[in-house]
Amino acid sequence: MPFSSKDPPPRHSLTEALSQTSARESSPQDTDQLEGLFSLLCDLDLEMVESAVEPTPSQAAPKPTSPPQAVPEPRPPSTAANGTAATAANSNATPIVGFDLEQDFWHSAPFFANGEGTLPDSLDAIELVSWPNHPPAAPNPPAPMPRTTEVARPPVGSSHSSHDTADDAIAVTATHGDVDEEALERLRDLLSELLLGESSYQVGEWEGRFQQLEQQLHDPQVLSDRLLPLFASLLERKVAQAPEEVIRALAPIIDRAIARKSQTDKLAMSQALAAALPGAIAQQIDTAPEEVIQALAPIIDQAITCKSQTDKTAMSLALAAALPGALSKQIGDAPEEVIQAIAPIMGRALHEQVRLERDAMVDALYPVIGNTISKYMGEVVRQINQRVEETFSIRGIYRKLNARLRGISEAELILSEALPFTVQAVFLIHKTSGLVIVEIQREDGQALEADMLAGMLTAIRSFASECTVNPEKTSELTEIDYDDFKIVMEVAGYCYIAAVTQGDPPAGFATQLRQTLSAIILNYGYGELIAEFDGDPDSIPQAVVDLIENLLRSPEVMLPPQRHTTENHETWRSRSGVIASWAVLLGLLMLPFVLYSWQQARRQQLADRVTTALDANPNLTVYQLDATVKGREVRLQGQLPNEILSQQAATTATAALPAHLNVVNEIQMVNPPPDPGAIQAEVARLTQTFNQMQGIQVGSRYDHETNRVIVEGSIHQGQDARTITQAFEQIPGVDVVVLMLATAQTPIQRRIYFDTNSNFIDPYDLESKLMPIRSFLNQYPDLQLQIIGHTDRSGSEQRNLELAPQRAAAVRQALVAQGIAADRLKVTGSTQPPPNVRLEDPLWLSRIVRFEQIAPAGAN
Amino acid sequence: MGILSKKLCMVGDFGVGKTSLIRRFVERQFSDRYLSTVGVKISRKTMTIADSERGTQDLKLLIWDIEGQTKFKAIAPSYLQGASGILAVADLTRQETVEHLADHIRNFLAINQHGFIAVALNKADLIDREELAQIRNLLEQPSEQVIGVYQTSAKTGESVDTIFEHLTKRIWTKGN
Repeated sequence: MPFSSKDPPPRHSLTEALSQTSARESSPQDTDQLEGLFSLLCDLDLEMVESAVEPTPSQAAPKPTSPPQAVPEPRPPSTAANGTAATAANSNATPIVGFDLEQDFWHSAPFFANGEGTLPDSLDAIELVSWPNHPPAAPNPPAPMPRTTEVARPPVGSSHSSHDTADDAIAVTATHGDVDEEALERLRDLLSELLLGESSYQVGEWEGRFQQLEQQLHDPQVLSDRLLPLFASLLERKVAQAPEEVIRALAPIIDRAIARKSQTDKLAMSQALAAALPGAIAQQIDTAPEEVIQALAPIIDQAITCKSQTDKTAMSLALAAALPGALSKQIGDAPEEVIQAIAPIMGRALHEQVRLERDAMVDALYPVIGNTISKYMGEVVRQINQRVEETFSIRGIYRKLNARLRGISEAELILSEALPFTVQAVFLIHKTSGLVIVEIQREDGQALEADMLAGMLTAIRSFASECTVNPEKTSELTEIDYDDFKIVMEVAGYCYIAAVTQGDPPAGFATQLRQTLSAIILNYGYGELIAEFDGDPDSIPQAVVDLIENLLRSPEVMLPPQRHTTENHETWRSRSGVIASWAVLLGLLMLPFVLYSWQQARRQQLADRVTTALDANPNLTVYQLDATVKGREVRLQGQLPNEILSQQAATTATAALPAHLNVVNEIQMVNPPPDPGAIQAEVARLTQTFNQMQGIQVGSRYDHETNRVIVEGSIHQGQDARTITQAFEQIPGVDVVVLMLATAQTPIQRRIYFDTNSNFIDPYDLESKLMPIRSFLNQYPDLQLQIIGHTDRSGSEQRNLELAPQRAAAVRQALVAQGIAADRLKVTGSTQPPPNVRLEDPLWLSRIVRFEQIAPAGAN
Repeated sequence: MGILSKKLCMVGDFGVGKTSLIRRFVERQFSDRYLSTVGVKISRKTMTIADSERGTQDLKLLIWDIEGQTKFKAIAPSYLQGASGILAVADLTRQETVEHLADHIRNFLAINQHGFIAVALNKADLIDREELAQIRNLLEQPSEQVIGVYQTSAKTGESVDTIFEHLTKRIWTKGN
């Protein structure tokens, strides 16, 4: 078999033929075309009849293996009289049409005579393919006549190929099959005649050959091998020439194609699309984000839900990084919403947290709660204490009674115990910046520098909290004391109240501060009005100012704080009832005590009166005497040195008391141990008294070891010495009085003192010193006096020399003026200190005039 | 609108002249005598700020003069809380005080990230322009909250009012 269907076909020819075919705009359904075919077949028929007459020459064809040489052989079928005839025919066909398929078809031609059963199919096929294969006749003009028969034949083979590959084409041609019935009939008859008549012996050979061809045709492998490359180039060309058409052609089915493909081979499809998808999505997002969003929006929540369900961990990881930022952003943008969202579950969350980690919760809240509770408890305890003290304590009642008995109002007593409480100023201060949010000051007081005060308070608070020993506990500065002023502070989260007060704040004040602050925070702290205070006072509602202002009036408002609310009124009333009955009961119990106290007070009053009277008596002042009242008797107790004083004391007491009281004198006579101080004082007092008497000049000292008083000096008259002795002996504790008195000093022993640089005689000296001298001179008419003037060391010597005799002369003149004969008086001067005056003594001691007696000339 | 109150703080190393700047600004005085501030001293000054768009506004400045800081003794953070702005002061004659400015500014921003900062390079009268230029180069502006760097002299009064006015105006107009 030199011509195998498997031999590679001369592709170029086929390609050419097909491309020409496709270039033609004819359609298989075109009836004109069919008519043309019809006539062609008719012509063919004729020719074949003619050629069938001259098969003999072709029988001589010796070599079927050389196709080019066989070209001139006109009748291959006829030459195929023997076994090689078929090959000869083949060899003829090959050069004419130019491809192997044509040969096969050609060989299949005898099949028409094979049997009726297969014929209609074949006929249909022939017609179908005949039109596209028709044209090859044209491109090969040099082909000789016999070739026309061959041209007619190829459709047979084509029909087989199309039978396998294109169902649509079959259907179309089938409709025309009936039309051509008659012509075909004739063709068949002719062929049969030809075959059966002349080469019936070759039928078997033909049959085998035909079957082989059929098999090949039905073998998809073979067919596809031959067709595929053609399709590829066909498509390529078509796309290049008329892309729109290809698109139009493919459009209706491409979706289904993809769908089908996806169903049958998901994996392959996925692989094919995978590479392009990311880019496609990115591009789409870039060009039309809105659409992508719309497309994804409906399912994105579901996607997240699904993902969350299937892989919680991954989802959590993915979101974890963004959540804190998202939350803080939301809190910054719309805190209200976050609050609304969280608020309903806050309670339960806390509850759960307590259940899970009680210790952590306790730790977290401890600093706050501890503070609050301790503060609250401290206050409660204080209030209870105060109430207990005021209501039940004996001291409290005693104080009331005592106040009544003494005739002092209780208010006065309380006043002495506590200063009145006033609020000078109240400030609401921003905690961190120290800016004043609200400032209320008492109008009558001196205005405080609110800004500075608030700033410094805040700084001090900061300082205190920086310096706290335990920095983990939040401790707050609550009070600053200075003098009787006090700054009381109540601190909240973002602000604090500072009240400048005077006096001791009542317990209710702290409560009121706290209530005010709570009211401000609950009503106005929300919404960060206070937390975000930026120094603009207009941003603060008037209500806050009013609340603060109430604090300033608090002392008046607060007196019974419970009475302000009607809610508390009943409790107050019932409580006061209880207190009243307690008071009555206590009153009855205390009655004897009260009477006793009254009596005691009365007695004390009388005793005080006696004591006061005794103290008023100068003789008794120095002694400690007590008076006690018992019934109608007043007992005088104490110690006195002698009976006289005791008598005096009794008399004094009696005079001071009402007549119905008897004085019982229980004073003891003792020699009390002398009090050196008292004796010394008395001695000094007496000495001073004596020195004021005329002519007496004494000094005295007390020797407490021997109980002696030594008196020195001079007296004018002898009886003065006795008076002095008696006086000093009367002093209790003085046993002995020693008098060391000079004999009576003569007037001329006295000295006249002068001022600096002066010779003027003091009028007092004139009276007290010169008058006695005049008397003395008159008493002794023979006596003559030397009058000697002295100066101190100050001043010039010259001046002193003048001044000294001038002073003496002044004295002489004064004596002369008093009637003393001038010749009895001699005058001299000295700048030296007088006798008994030392150089270091005070100067005034030297500014004197002194006298010396000159013996009467006759006496000597 | 009534008078707005604003809190300002002075921060900087010991002896850079924080107190002197305040005295110059508030009391119009200067003294060579060195007074070490202990704790905090608060001064007050009311000034009128004019803005072409917003008109005029009286602002009461409460200036916290905080004692100087060292490497070993950081400023108490609570003093800086609530401050609308700070004056970060350095001494041009002591380069290390300039280098510490960044720390002071960072500390403040950690407490109040929206506060404004004016940098005062003080004692400008004691240094020549050549050196000044070099020192200014040392400065980085670490934050947009820093409104500017000023050479000031409490002694001559150079730029003292200006720096306070600029800072106050910026605080007033912020966020609007």
